[in-house]
Amino acid sequence: MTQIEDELESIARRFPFRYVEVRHHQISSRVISLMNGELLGVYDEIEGGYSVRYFNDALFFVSSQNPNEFEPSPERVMGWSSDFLDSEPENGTYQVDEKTPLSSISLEEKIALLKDISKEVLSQRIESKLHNFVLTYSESVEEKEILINGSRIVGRVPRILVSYNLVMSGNGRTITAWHELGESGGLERLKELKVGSHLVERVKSLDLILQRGKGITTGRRDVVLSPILSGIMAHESVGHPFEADRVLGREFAQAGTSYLAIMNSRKIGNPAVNVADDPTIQNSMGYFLVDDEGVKARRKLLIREGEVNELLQNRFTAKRGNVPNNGSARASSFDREPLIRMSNTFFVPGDMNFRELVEDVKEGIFFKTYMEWNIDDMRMGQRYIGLEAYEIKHGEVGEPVLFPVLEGKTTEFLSAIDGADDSLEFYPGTCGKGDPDQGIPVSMGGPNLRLRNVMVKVI
Amino acid sequence: MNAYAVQEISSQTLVIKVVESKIETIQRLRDKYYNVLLRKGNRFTVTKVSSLDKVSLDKALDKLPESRIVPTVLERSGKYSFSKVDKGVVNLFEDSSRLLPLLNSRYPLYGTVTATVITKRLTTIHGFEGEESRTWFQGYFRAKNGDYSGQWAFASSFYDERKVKDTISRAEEYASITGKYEISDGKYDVVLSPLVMGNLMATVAYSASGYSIMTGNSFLSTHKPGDVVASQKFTLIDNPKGDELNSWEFDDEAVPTRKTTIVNKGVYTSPLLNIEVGKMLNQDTTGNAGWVYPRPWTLEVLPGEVSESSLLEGNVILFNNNWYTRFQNRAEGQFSTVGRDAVVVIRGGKPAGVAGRVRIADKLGKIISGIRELSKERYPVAWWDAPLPGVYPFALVEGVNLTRA
Repeated sequence: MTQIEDELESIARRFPFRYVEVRHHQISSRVISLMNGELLGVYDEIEGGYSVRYFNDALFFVSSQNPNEFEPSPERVMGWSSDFLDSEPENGTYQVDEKTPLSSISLEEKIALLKDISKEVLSQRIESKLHNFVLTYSESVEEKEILINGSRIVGRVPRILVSYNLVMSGNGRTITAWHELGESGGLERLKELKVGSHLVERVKSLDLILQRGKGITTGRRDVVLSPILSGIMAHESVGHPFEADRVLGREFAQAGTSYLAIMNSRKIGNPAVNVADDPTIQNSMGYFLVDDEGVKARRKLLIREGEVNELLQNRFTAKRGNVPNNGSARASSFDREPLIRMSNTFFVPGDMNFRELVEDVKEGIFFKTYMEWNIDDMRMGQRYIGLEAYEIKHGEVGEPVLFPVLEGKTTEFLSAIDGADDSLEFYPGTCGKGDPDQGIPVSMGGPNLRLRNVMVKVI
Repeated sequence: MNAYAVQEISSQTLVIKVVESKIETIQRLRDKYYNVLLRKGNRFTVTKVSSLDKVSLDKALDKLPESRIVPTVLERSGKYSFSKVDKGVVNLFEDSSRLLPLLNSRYPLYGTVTATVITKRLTTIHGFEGEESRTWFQGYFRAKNGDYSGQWAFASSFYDERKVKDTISRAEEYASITGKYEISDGKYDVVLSPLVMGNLMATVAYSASGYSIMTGNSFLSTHKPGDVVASQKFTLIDNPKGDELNSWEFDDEAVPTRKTTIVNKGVYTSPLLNIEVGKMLNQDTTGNAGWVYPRPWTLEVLPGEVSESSLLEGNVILFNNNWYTRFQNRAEGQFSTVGRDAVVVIRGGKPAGVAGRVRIADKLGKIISGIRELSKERYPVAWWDAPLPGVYPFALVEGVNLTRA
């Protein structure tokens, strides 16, 4: 028995309840930040400790870095959660391999690599001025070991995340752009992300927007959303409202409610719409094979052919709704309770290609990237503002346009989707929920999507 | 090594979560970690660990390239100790049962009450040994009345049952306003509640961080102290010297904290600075470190001269609460945020209905310039989507751009 196993057993013995979940959870990370090609700083963090969540007529959660500090809560109350799905917890191990270990090159070499990327970006010949460029690389390893009513789950997920912030101006306009790239795995993923070429393309594209972007008028038109946009839409307007705890009201005062709490119909969009959440995707940010309540993970089809298919569940909501538990509970760190969380949420690709998607659009807009998104707490009214956006005329993607605003209702957008191409791209994100708040790594993505006749506004 | 600092932060937290007027979870969290700054010349690293023996001292500092902005610590020695620990808050950790009977309402109630005891210790190479302990008692509630809801929050450094009761009562009051009222996209005079102010003023304060200004990610980047950036009715202060949550006596660089006026009667007065960013901007620290990133502590908007109720006379739209504030362009301060709970359309001084989840889509500079009146009454608030504590009045802002999806 390892030291941690022993400590988990020892803690568990102090909690004689029907459901007891003891977890050791550690995240080690390193962040390297550069500003305009110069080192801004190196930050290391090892955050870890133990927690116990148990059910004793209500849910209780205790956490500490010291395994000797645990004891049951003195309160006895009848809780909002009155029971749980008592399925046998899995024993299981999962991990994402580091083909090229994160530790295989030195800190100095990593800084040199980031400097080279920065140099290439800063040396681009553009008409606009690049005022500031912050490039941040982060690598982390998340390790957890969980003991639930005698079953043991061990997980290990290394991740790489690159984010950047650009401030550019030209032609009397200013842009602040922020974006992230990331996957789970070793340093081989950094190579796959092609950060340098992504950034060079981005800077050139933003320059084009600043120099040649033209205004549009408010009105209805067809819209094509890139995987960056379809991903954020899948996450915000489908993933979140399909969290069963939110539908039941558990997040009402925090991350909000869901339109599914008041909707009577299963039909939610065009039959072309399929949205999935799948934690089993290799090298995704939200990868796991057994959830933090000891339930085997699987792909969930949230929307099937435009109809509500299943929600994201944990042991407590599944019992309440009398539905199968699909293993969606995850905690972001040792001192956070497992909550129903998305993993990797995406619009399922269709069978068209991009050319086919665009060719019968007479007049429309292609949203390639966005600069702002938000959505109301019921997950109905939403808004995305294009950063890199281009007009579509007679089936061809053309000139850049300035900052179109896609604003409308979730049901309207999902009903307007009549085509998805056969591509599938994922982007990383940090998803917030709960109190104390917990940001958790996810991926979100999809294909290019076509929406017919939706309202596009201007800022 | 020519500089180091070790910051130890230990905390104990109790969180009671309420769903549909029932207890959903009771959480007890203990946490202790160290932030360690090591510096040699212009090379540095910062490490966060739960135990000092996990800090790798080799770190090959010599091999690192020099950094552009290098954290430093004040040349200050001696011991400093400060404690403002409320027994009422501490007693809650032993048994929170006296709080539980308070958590009821005429409507289904949702929210949290959180009690925290936090101790910070800072040791620097110059022989400074500072220690400070505080207690926090905070909470927020959302009351649900069918399709309608109301929300309110409190933030206090001491235990006070009245704050819990008053917060629930205020949430109920907003939730009791019913009837739908459709509005279209356009400009409106709006009244922002202290909750909305808490959300938006935090973004103003983070825009005043010297780091945001230096990198161009701030609408204040193009302004200099002395410029008029807001209505003359508006004064925003970072005030860690008071009794509010997140007040502290010294910052991460051992610099004594102080009251810093960010905007005084509409005039941009000072950014928030630490030693190193201050040096780059040719200014002195304001005691807002953050190693590398200066940040606000606890905010205050000075009160106005009119009553809260008088702001609701005439034709205005009251925003009880908002969430999901996102910036399109930080350089220009362009953002949008979505109304939540009671967005009340007031016609002739009376509620005409609730506009639903309407969005404010405007510029931060324009919001603070458009402030026409502030209420005499102020409220210390913090909540899930406005976690930076502050004391705010209600604000009447003219010509705010609203959109609805």
